[in-house]
Amino acid sequence: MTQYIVRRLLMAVPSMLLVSLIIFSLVRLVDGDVVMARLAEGGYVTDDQLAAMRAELGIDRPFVTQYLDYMVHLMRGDFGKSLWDSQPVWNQIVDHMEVSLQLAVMSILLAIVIAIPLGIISAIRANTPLDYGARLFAILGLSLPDFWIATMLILGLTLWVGWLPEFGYWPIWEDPAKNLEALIFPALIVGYRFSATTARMTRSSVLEVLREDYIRTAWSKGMRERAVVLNHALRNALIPVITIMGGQIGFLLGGLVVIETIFSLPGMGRLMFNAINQRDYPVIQGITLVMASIFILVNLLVDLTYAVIDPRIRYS
Amino acid sequence: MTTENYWTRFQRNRLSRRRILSGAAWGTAGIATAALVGCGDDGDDSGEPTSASTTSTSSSGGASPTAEQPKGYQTNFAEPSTQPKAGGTMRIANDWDVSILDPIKTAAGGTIVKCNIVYNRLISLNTGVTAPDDKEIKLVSDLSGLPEQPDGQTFTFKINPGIKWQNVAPLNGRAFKAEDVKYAYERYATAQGSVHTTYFRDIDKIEAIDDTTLKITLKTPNPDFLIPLGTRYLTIFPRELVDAGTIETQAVGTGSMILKEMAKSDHVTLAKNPDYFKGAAKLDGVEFRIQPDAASRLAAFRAGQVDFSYGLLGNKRDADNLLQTNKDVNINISPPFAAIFGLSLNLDDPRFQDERVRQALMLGMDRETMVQIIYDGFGTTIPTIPWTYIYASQPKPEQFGKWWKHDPAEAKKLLAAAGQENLSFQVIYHEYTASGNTQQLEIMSDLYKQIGIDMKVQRVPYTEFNSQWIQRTFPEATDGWQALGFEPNNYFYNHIHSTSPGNRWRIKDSELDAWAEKQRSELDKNARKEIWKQIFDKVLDKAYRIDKPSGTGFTAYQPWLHGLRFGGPLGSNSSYYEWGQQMHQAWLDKA
Repeated sequence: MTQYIVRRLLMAVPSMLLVSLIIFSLVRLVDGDVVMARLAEGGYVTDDQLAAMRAELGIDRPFVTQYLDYMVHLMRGDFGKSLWDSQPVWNQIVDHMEVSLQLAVMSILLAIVIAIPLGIISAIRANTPLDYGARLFAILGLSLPDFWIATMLILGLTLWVGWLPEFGYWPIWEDPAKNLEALIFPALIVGYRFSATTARMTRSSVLEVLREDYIRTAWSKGMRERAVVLNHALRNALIPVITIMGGQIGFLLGGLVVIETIFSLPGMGRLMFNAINQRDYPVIQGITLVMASIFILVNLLVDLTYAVIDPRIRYS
Repeated sequence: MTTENYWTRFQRNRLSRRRILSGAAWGTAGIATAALVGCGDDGDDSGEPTSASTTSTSSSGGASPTAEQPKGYQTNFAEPSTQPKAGGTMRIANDWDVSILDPIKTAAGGTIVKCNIVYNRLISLNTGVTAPDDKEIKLVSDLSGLPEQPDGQTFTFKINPGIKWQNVAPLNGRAFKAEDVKYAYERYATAQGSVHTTYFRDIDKIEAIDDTTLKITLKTPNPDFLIPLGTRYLTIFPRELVDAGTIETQAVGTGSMILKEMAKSDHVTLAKNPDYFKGAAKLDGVEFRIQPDAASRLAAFRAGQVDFSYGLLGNKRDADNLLQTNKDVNINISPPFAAIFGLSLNLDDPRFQDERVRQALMLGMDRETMVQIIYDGFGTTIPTIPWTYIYASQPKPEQFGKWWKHDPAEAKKLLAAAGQENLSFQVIYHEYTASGNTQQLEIMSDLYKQIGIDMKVQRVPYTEFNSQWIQRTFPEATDGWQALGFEPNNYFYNHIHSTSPGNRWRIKDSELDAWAEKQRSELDKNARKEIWKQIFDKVLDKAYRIDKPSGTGFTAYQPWLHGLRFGGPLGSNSSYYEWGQQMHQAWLDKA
């Protein structure tokens, strides 16, 4: 097992190098740079002054020089400094990661709580009104954009309930109640979207397993439905569900941009969004690498979970 | 009629979308306009050129009343007669984020606004509850009184007594001196990375005669020299922060509020400076809540979570919607007196070098109808150069020359004469004003189709747009903004001189160049004004800029927020930036 993990981690190195090169190239292909973002609507500057500003920031150097410089610093664990506010990139990522991780964890937990029971009920009561209701719930979750749900939720609360959770973020250890108030609606929205796919996958997977011979055997032995479904069917149906969930976590982190913006949460999505607008190359590169690392680690964890769920699977 | 059908359809579709969203979106309107749009006042509309005596160098924005506006909203509501209350923290929902704090390196709002609260200026432009009533830009005392000017080249400032830097390390409350101003100005003028060097190009020397006297001598007379010193862009920062290398991340000034905390993407907090030389603020502090989403800011404002919000109202319909749920909210309007956005052509393109093509584009636009459709009548049709420099009150459209009217038949003739009957070009733009840019361009595109022009529009992200606009690299045409300045040189030199980086339209006209240079050093007000009129008329006659209509600005205030007011001539008191100058007067009347 340890060998397997080490091998997978070593295999991640070239992936990360490739990611760094791609993102380093892509951000520089987009029109506009941080100097333009800083100037915004004010100031008259000559071409010489623009060139001097770029030289000061080092973004006028040849691409290869910039990349090698970046990689040398990265090898030392230095993600560089923001071109926009001169703050260390790593510190900014750590500060913003806290919000996004909490939101992601809450969303995933909510999604699991919603999706797995919903998928199971939908499967064991297939083609009944209960199933139709559950499928409609899941399809709506897939179809409705989260920004629309969020905007409608805020509008509804403001206009018809006369109450609105306070926008912003309060760390959980400072004010747990306000932290929950700030995060519960974003988590519900993200969790709902996340649960939709998971519920549909759980349904189809459980349905498929329920048709297996060993399930028929379990029924014929007179086992109760609960034992058949939970002990025999669900465990075997979970592998594709977990695979889907693992893959979705990457998209979930990327998709937090919109929700964090609407609910004014200072998370990774907001940091990335601002950095793109400001053409803050080091921050964009830093976040991308961290996101890619999380994606790789989550996939590794998913692979390792297979062995826990299904003892027949062994890594060596 | 095709036009009517299109617009009827347009109006209907637009209202449908609005019903669906029920006033949720739209909010970003006015962010840029708040920053860029100048404001005026109402009054007569004779449209006669002002006599020379009514416009002076220091009152160049000087406007008399703007065009008559539809009824229903006012330009400046009354302050309560009760005694101001002390205490409380003002909460402001804003769209900018934390950025570098070095005032020389950026002109972006997120930087400027914080610097303007923590730092002061040597002199200032009038702000606060009286500013929206101003008919012209007024210079007022700040760190110093207004200077003695024995001639057009020497300015002697006396620093006001009792000014101390905030009692925060490394300044620790030391006395403010004339030498501090000299240091800051010299750094603005010469430091690498400064984006404000052009303001100082005429300075020969800056001398701190003693601790309270500063003397500035110019190489050549410049009648506009003082105005930039009073603007938001030239705040006075301390040498200590530069020497310590913390000027980009720390701000310790002389202002009414002390910067306490900046949490990126979350909030910026400030606490009152008890030693402020104009008297300690009534507020205990200020909290800027960074909320980039316009609908969220509107919701927070509606729920009373914030006392003020950036970019809430894009037009009258937004204001009407807000008043439906929050009846006590105070709303001010700010009629523009310069067009902020215009169809900007690449004048290096041979097709657009033919003035008949440009004139056809002017004639093809139906500005009056656009004002009615897009702004419900709360807008106006005026050129990019503020009419206030030339006229005492807003001129009638016919006074803007023969190309200002809507005349499709004449436009077709001009295009035919120029051999451009099937003119086709692309416009890149950024949506600055909550669908305002898009609506204008969609209508223009349809209008131009009627005269045989195929105008394609392409929306691009903010930085991409600004990169092309600022560097003048847009290929064919763009919906470009004009950089508002507070001094006449901005309009009569920076925007039009062929060598100026502010001439983003790439106008190359030797006669305009000569006039631009001449007015720059003309100290005789009458003579200078005559030159301005020549420039004003020629720019319109040659149709160098295809001016579009402008909407009236709407600003909402919670009913309990007092002592604070935005609006005034030429965006000199903009809600985007001008917090610091009036923060010590603001107060809250909340339980």
